[in-house]
Amino acid sequence: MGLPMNSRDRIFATLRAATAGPVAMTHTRPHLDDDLAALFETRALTTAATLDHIATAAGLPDALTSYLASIAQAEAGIAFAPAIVDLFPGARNLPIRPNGADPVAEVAVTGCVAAVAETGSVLLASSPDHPTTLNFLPETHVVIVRAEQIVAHLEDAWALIDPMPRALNLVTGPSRTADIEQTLQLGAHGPRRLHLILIADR
Amino acid sequence: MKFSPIEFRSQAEAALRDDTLQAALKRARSGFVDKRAKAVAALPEFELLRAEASAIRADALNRLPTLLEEFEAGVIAAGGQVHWAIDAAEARKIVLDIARCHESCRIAKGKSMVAEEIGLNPALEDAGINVVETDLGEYIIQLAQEPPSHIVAPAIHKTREQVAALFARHHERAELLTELTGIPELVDEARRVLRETFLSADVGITGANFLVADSGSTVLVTNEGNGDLCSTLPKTHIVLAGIEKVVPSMTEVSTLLRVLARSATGQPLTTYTSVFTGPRRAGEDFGPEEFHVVLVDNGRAAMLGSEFRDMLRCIRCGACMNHCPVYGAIGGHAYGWVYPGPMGQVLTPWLLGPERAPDLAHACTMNGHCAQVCPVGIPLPDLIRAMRVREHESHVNHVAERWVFRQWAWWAKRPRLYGWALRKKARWLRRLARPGGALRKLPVWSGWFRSRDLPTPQGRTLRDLMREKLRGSQ
Amino acid sequence: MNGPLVALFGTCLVDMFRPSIGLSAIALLQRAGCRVAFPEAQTCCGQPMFNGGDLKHTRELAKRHIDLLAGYDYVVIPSGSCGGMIRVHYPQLFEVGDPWHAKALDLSRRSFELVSFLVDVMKLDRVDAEFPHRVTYHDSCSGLRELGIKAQPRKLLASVRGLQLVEMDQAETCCGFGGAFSLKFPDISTRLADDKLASARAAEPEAILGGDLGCLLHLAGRLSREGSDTRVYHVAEVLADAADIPPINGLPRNPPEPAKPKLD
Repeated sequence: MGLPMNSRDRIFATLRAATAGPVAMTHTRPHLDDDLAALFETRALTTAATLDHIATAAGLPDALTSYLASIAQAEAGIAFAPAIVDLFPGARNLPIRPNGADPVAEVAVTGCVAAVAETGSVLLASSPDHPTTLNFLPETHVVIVRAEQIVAHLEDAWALIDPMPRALNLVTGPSRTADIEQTLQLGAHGPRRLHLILIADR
Repeated sequence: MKFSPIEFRSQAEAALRDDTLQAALKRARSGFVDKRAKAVAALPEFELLRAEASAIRADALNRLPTLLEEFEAGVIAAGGQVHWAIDAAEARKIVLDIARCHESCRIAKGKSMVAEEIGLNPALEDAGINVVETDLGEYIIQLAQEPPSHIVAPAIHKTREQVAALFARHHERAELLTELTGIPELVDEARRVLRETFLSADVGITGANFLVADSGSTVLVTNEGNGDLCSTLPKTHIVLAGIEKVVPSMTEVSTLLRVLARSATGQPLTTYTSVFTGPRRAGEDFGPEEFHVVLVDNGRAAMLGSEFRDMLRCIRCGACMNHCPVYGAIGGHAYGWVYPGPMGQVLTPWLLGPERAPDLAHACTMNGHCAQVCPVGIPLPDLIRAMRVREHESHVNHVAERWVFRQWAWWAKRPRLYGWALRKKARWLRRLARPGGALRKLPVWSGWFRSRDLPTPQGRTLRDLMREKLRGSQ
Repeated sequence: MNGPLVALFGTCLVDMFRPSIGLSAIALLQRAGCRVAFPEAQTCCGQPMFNGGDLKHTRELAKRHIDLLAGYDYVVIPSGSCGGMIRVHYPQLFEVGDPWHAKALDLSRRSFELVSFLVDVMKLDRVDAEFPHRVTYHDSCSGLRELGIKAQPRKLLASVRGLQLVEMDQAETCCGFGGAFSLKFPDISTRLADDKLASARAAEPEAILGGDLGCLLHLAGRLSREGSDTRVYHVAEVLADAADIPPINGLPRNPPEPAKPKLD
């Protein structure tokens, strides 16, 4: 009594008058084929991502070089996430600086915390070792996926995350828009290309 | 261009006559409907997931206060701030106050239906703040100074030629009109211009598709990546969300994601599904220094206690409008406000008051397609009908209609009189019709006869024929 | 005879405009082994008031018909929308616990749209009829979405001699009738009719069939205005072998005096 209620209290007062009991629920995950790696690959390709296989991490520098050559970006500046830069010995790591500062990388190479077979997505968690800017500013985003990182469902991917990072990005293919005449166009604001390099073995 | 729900009739008529709009609507109709159908067919569990999604939303609404408290505590624990807005004016003020902390503030904004609902952009512009929409569709209609005509594809009514003309004028490069002939060039032009906006913005504003109670996170789905740039580059990130958006955990979000994009665009998942939890962490060079969540009531809490409670399950996929034949004929602007189509026929009269949108609830054929495709099982025709009940009971609807129902019911409670009246009407209509043909005109129902004949009754009424038969068999 | 006792609920539109549909329904029910009654005190089920938001008058009419239709094994309605009103919406009109709610539920369980009754309850899988024409079928929305009527009319139509059913691509799209909607928003309503008829026309039918006279009056009225010679019939008329009468849209251009509707 006495004090006028603030908006929060007023909202809660109205909401509390309208609460009800729990609703009985089940939780279904879609059935998936057993070969998760094959499924991940199939679904990732349908999202317009591209995908390469290599046997071991030692093959990464060559795989990256040949991929960039294949898209006529052999000379492009590259920003490596600190988390994986050691896998590319001797590579020149350029910053992706949002404000000015030349030269700026056009390609970003990062790892991921999981890959989701259900959707062909990669899950990226922000950290000092993996700035979110790398996922969105470059023209081309290359993501390194280790085969053992592939999980079946979305739920399995979230379960790997604790605590929540500042930003968790589940990326499913390159950026796109269909806002003009419902015509799909890749590369709206984020990367035009998403390239996945799948490492079979540690 | 200004639209208003009270002008629904004239706006709908204008839309029917607008050939450019009609071509766009036709494309949209087949596009969205076919893509959804394919996506649903490719997921055998879809109907089961749809039922589970409905239960998730219904359950969350049942314990909304608890979930909101948990969410609020989570945001604060992650270093963010939560603001509560009881109405549109308070929500605008909260955002303005945050924006004013920055000198000569520039705002990069992602698509947010709540922002449209509370009229955020005009308020920011009036305060001298530069706000740029970054979703391509929203950007286009911001340049055109129009409201969105679809909640998923806001510029669905625009042709590429119209977009090129807008870019040429607003980017102050007349040559664009001839250079930008294809959709790829148009998208690239927007990418180039808006990249500068992202890089120079002080504040990023986005909406939220879901709020996650157990972690204090907000979930945003986009295809373009604009929401992520809005939430990563500026110093301050403001998330605007309705209070109904909260669910317990990422487990429930998983189910909702599985039905959301399939229902909206026919994708299994949108390109970017992002989960934001608080501001930048120690050691991080990027991410906002301030993270604000503005939770907007604006009539929702009251809706929870009303017969329209189920409407709050809505996850804003747009499937109801994509499958609505009326929306397909007239487009989103005719509805006159933020939410077009069936969802708007419930939300608009509720949020603005039925007297400001008296025709909306009636512009429905009760065909039920919207409810059939709604991923969270909202019984939209029932809610639209309930809005008609509300209008009837508060005498918003037309006095003639009330009189007709009263008369009709009076006769229908008196079977002999009713039978006599049917007999008379049938005879009278036959007398007015040309032989063997249909009626071309009557002194009533001018709307019907403007474009349609009325088939002539066969002659005797069924009840008269049956009475005769009965007599003959006795 | 000891078949089920079925009350035919004719519906206002059939009663006044096209009793041949009611007579066809009776013929079909009798051929399926039912004893058919026509409760004479039936009037309007209340659907127009219900969809207009006038619950007071809806409840009054619902109560009348709940009482009137109490003594029958089944109530059969040659219309998906009036059928949906009685089967789906009557129980929603009363609070659970109200005796009227229980009575409405009881009526709901006994009430069926005609064609779904013949197929689902009477297990009819063929009819004795001939209609040597290419036809397309419009799924009326209430029947389709409230009562799940889709396969049943097609099943029986497949047994009609000479009939060739060609599906239109928009069979499940609303025709734009919507009861009062067609009067309140005539231009939108007509646009939807034109979209529907364009889809139907692509199937090049000689006749358009449907299960709801409201939709059919609306489509037939549009065809008549356009001077089209595509004929419109209620599915019951075709199934009862009674479609040798003028179609719902009447006879186009210089028509001869129509034959008397076949009443028996």
